[in-house]
Amino acid sequence: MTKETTVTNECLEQRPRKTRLALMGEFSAGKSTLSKLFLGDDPLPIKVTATRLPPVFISYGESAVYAVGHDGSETQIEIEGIDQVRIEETRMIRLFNPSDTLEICDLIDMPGISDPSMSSDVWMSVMNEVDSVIWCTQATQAWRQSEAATWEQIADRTNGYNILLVTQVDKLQSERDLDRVMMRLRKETDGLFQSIFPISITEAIAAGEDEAKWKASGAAEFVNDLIEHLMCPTSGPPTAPVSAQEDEDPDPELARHSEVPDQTSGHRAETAPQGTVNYGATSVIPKRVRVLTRMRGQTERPTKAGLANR
Amino acid sequence: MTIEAKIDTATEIQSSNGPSNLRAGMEQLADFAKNAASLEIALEQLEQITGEETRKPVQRLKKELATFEPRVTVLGQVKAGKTALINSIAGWADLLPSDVNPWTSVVTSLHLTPAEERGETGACFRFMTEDEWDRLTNKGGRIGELASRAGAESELNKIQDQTEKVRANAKARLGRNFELLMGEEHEYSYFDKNLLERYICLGDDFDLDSKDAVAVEQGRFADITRSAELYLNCQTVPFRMCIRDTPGVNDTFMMREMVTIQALRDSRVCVVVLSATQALTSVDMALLRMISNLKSRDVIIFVNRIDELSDPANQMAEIEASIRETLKSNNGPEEAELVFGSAYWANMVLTGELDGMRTASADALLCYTEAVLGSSLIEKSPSDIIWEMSGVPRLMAAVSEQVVNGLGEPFLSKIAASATTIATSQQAARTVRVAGEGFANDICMHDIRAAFDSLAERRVSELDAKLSQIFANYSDRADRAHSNFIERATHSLLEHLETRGDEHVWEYDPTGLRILLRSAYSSMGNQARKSAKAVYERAVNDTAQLLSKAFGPAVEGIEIAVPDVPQIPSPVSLGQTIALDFNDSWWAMWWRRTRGYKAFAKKFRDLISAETEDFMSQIKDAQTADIRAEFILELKHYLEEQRSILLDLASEPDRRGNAQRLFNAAEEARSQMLDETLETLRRYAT
Repeated sequence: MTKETTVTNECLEQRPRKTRLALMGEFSAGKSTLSKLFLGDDPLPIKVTATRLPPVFISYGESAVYAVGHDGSETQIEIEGIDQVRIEETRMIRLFNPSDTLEICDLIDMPGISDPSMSSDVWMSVMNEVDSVIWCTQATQAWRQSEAATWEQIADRTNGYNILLVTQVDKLQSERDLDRVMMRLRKETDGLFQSIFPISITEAIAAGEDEAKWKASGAAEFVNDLIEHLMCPTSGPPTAPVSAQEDEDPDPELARHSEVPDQTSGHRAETAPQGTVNYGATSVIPKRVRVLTRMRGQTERPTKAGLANR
Repeated sequence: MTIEAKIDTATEIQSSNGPSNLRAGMEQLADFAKNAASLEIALEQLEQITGEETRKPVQRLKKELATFEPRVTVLGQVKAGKTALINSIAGWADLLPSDVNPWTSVVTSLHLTPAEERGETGACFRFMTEDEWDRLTNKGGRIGELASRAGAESELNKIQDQTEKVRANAKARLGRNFELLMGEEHEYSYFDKNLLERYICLGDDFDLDSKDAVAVEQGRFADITRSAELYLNCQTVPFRMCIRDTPGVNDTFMMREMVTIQALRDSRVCVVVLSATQALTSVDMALLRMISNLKSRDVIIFVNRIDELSDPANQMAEIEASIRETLKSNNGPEEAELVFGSAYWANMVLTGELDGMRTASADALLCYTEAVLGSSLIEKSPSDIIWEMSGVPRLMAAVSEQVVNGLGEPFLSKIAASATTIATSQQAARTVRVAGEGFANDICMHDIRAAFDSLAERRVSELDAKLSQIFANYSDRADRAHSNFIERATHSLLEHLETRGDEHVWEYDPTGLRILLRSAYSSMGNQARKSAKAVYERAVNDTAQLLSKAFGPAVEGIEIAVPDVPQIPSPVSLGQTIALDFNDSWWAMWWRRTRGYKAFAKKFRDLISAETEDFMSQIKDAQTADIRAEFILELKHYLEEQRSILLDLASEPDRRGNAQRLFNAAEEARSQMLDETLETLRRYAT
C-alpha cells in the first residue's frame, strides 16, 4: 500500500519554461517509438516487451544522462547503462539531447501503466511536473478500462491540452475498421482530450522526407497540431476541449509572438553538463520540426504557411 | 526454392481445400475418442444382456457417456483475439462474428460435434433472470482490484450504473416483453449471422450506418441475453467439445468483465489469450491469478498476434522470457503452458485467402517460417505449414492433454467402474440360477427390497448428518478466523494510530485471513471426504452382506467398487478481493477520508465486515452446499445401481432353477459376450 509520496519540485517554481509533454499509455503502446520520432534518434531502448525505466525527463542539451534519486541527488550514468538503472532508487532519469524538437518542449517518457512489475507510484510521483500529455493507445485494443481509469485520475493535473494518439493503426485491416475504432474512441473519450489522432509511428519514421508517406502515416496532422500548440500555448484552452471535431486552428499571429525558449531558464542549464545551452535565435523552430511544418504547408491547410517561413 | 515461391505457387491449388492437417495436435484427444467409443460399445452390449432392472443404470451410464463434453473456456482482455482464435479452433473462419470494437457481453458456448461436414445444427439463447441482473452488479471477484487498476475502488458503482442503464434501455425498448422474456429461452434448429447478431451483438450506437433497418434488428435481444449455446458439426475436433467465448476483461463497459469473471466459476480448462504486442499486463496477471487461485484449474496461455511482430522468431523468445519472469515475480502460475501463434494466420488458411494477407503479416510469417524450418525445400503444402505456424495445432495439443488427463480419463474410469460392478453382478446372476436355490427361498423378494431400501436410507442420512457436523465445525472455525483477523487488524490499526498518528498510511496484509480460511476449508474438505468414504464403504459392506444373505455363495464373484468420493471444489471465493487487497491509491484515499481515531476503528470494522460478507457466505454456505449435494448424489447413484442389481438377481426367472436354459446356445453366447464386455470395462476402470 501507498507510502505517502510528497513531491518536492523546485522545477515548478522556475518560470517561464518550456511546455513539459509527457508520453503516456499502457506499456508497448508506442511511447518510446514516439520519442524516437520526436528526437530523430533513439536514445531510449525500444523493446517488444515492457521497457522498465523510471520516467525519463528529456531536455535540450549536449548528450548526457543522469539518474535522479528520490532525495534529488544526481548521478551521471552512461547512456548504454540506462536500462541498468534501479527503479527503486531512482525517481527519474534526466536525459539531455541536442534534438531540435527539445528546443520547443521538454519530453517526459513515462513508464507504461499496467505493467505488473511496475507500481503506478513510479510515474505518479512525477505527474506534478507534467503540463500536457500525449496518451498513446494501441489501435487494435484501444482505450481499455485500465487506461480510462488512469486517465480519470490524472487528467486534472494537466493543463488540459492533451492528445489521444491512436497508435499502430497499420495493424488494423481496413479503412472502415479504423473509422469504426475512431468513432468509438471519440464517443468514449468525449470531452477528455483536446484532440485525437490516428497514427502509425513506424510508418511515420520510415517516411523520412517523403511527404506523401508522412501524411499517410497520420503524423502530419498530429505533429502540426502539436507544434501549433507548443508555439502558441494559449491556443489550446483547457476550458473547451474539442473531442470529435478537428481542432480549431490557432491564430498564426499568436504563434509568431509565442514564447521563445528562454536562455536564462536556468535549471536545465545548470544540470546540463556543458553549462548554458545556446538556443540560437535562428533555430527557434527545430530542423526536424521545420521539415514537418514545411510539409504542413502542402497539406490542406495552406494558410498556416506563414509559420513555416519563420 | 524459397518458401515464398512455394507459397505463391501452391496457394492456388490449396486455397479451396484448406489445410490437410486441421486435426493436428489433437492426437491424444483422438485416442481418447476411440476409448470412449469402445466403452460405449461395451455399455451397449451390457445393456443387451442385463436384466430388466439393471438396464436402467446402464442406460444412465450410457447417457452420461454420450453427453460428456469437456469444456474449454477462452478468456483474455477485450479485443485480444479470443473470437478469432475460437473460430480457427472450430476450423471455421467466419463462424462467430467479430468486430474491431468489442460488441458482445454474452458468454457464447460452441458445442462442437465431430463430423465429416461442418454445419450449424442448433442454437439456444437464454435471457437474464432477476437474480442474474443482481448478481452482475454485486457479486464475484473484482479484477480491477487484483490488478491495481486505477479507480478500482469506484468500479463497483460504475458497474452498477452501467448495468442499470443497460437494463433500463432494454426495458424501454422491449416494453412489457422485458418482464416476459426474463429467464426465458429461445431455441432454434439453425443459426446464422443474423440470428447471432440479434442475440449476442450489441449494435453499436456510434456506428456510421446505424440508421438502417438491419441495425435496428441487430442486437435486439443482445443486452438481455445471458448465454448463447450454439451447436455445430465440425471437422476439426475428434471428440465432442465445448469451447466458450467470453466477452473479455478490461473493457470500459465493465459489465463485460463481470460476465467474464463469472464464467470462470465453472471452467476447468482455461485458455488465456494475450496479445504478443503487449504481453501480460497487470490485468492479464490478475486474471491468471484468479484462475490459478482455483487450484484444480489448468491454464494455458496463448500469445496471439505474433503476426504483428516485426521479427517473430527473436521477439517471441524475448516475450516468453518476460512473461515467465513476470509470472514468477507475481506468484502467477509459473509452469503454465505457453503457446505462441496467430489466429489471423489460421483464419487466412481456413478462408484460403493467403494471397490477401497483409504485407507486414506475410513478412512476419516468412521470417518466422524461415527461422523455424530454414529456407530449404519443404515437403508440406503452404497452407499446412502456415497452419502449423499459426500455433493452433500446438494449442490444441496442450488443450487435448489437459482435457484428456484432467477430465476425460477420470470420467471414463468412473463410468467403467460402475459398469464393471453391474457386469459382474450379471455373472453372479447366472450363478444364482445354478447355486442359489437353498438361499433364495429364505428371503422373499419383498424382504430383500425392504432391507435394501432401509439400508440405503440409513446410509444417506448418516452421510448427511456427518456432513452437517463437519460443516458446522468448519463454519465456526471460519468465523473465528474471520473475527480474529478483524480483531488483530483493528488492534494493529489502533497501535499504529497511537504511535505514528493518522498522517501515515497504515498497512495490513490480508494474506493471513486467506491462509486461515484456506486451511480451514481444506481441513473441512479432508474430513468431509474421509467421512464420505467411510459411509460409502459401509454402504458397500451392507450391500455385500445383504447380497450374501439373500443369494449366498452365488454372489461371491460380484465386484462391488466403492464409489469414488468426488473432489472438493476449489475455494473459488477466496479469489475475491477484499478491501485490504486494494490498490494503493484507493487505500490511501480511504485513509485520508477517514479522520479521527474512533472513526477509524469503527469504520474499519464496518468496511471489512461488509467487504467480507459475500466472501464468507460463499465459502461457508454456497460451497459447502455444493459439496453436500455432490457427495450425496454420488452415494445415491451407487445405491440406485445396487438396487437394480439386487432386484434383477431377485427377480431372475431362472432363480428357481431352469436348468435347461443353461445349455441353451443363446445363453452360451450371452455369457461369452458378458465376459468380453467385462474385459473391456475392466481395462478402462483402472
